[in-house]
Amino acid sequence: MEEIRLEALKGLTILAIHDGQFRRGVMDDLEGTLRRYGYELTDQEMERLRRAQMDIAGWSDEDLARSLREREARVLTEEEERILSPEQFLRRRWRF
Amino acid sequence: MRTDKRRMHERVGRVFTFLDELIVALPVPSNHRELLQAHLEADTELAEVQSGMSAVQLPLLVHEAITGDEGPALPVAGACTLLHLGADLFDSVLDQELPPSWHTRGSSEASLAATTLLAALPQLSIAHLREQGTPPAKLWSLARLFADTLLTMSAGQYEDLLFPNLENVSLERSRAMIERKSGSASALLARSGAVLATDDSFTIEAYAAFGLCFGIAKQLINDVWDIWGEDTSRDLLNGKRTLPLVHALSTLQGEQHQRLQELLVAARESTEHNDEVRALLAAAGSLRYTALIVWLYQQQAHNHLAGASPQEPAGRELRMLLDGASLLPQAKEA
Repeated sequence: MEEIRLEALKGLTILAIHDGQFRRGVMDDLEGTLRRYGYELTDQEMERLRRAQMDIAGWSDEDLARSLREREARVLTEEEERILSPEQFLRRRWRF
Repeated sequence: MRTDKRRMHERVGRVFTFLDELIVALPVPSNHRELLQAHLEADTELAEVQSGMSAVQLPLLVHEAITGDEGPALPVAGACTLLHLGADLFDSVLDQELPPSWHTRGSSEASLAATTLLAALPQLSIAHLREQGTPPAKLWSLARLFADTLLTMSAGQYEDLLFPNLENVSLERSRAMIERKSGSASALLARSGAVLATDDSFTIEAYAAFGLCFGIAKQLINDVWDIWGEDTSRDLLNGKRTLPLVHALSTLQGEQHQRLQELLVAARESTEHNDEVRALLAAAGSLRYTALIVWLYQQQAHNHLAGASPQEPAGRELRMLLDGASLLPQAKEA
């Protein structure tokens, strides 16, 4: 699928960090919010962004947390448990 | 896919064998050498289990993506891995969660080992590049790159330590701290492989930007995992102001805002209110917000990587590593 232009991604990141109104609007009304902020994306870019927004907005925080735990959960082997406790193992998963 | 996993596993073996030989040859008393070897052995086992370890994979893959050969970058991957092991060991000392292999030695010896791993050994690893004819100017560039990055990481880490004492931390300040603390380290992993491989500044900067965005995305996932992945949040106990918490404090109003502030103070003493903290973060949509920011950085990293036109199969492996840096459920879960 078509990638979104780098400049557009950078602009969206800056707005998502700096602008409270944008943060609220982008989840509830993606296209209206982008229009108000003067964003002009190609049809393919818009489709990619729309999919991502639906992926994110379609889940509650509880669902995302549960999914993350299920994805990372695993039974440690004896060798793994000898190196780290299960809690330390999972905590380090994203430090490496 | 299985071939890619096997290649990742083999890289871990090559880099840790190189490091073992480096430490064996150090001109230090045997007990000091044993201190460093003990840590390397424990982390060798950990790295073999977690073969995706970026400090091993990124420098080698980036070099191969540019030149078609990862071999010459082995000393650079060794230096990156040493820096990473030292920083990780320091984190464990600060968070008071040293791995079992350190329990008999204690935090003083761990701090000494971490200092040696961070400061001295990466330079000695890079010095091995002389044996393969790397020009002095490039050796100096790499040595300077490691020093600059360590300085940036230190500044980010210091800010992370200061945040618990500040009344207000903005989302931008939190993002900038993550960029310095974690993004710069990940940028180093990619940039150092590129610096050794080419003099083309566009290519070097594209890989560095890829590494930076990848590192920020991974740190944000780590922050989310700390709060939602475990019963006991180390970040809440340590009073950290990670991005999801800063988002909730910026979003919630009135009584909810006040309550979250009270709970964050209480969470430094006890874990009994952690579920209520999570409920308020959910009310603010802070996990979904963080998932959006992770996605934006992941997409930026994809874009930078595509701009660098990596050779295959290294490009595919880099994309595979990057695809894992997401908070969104995989397609089959949806």
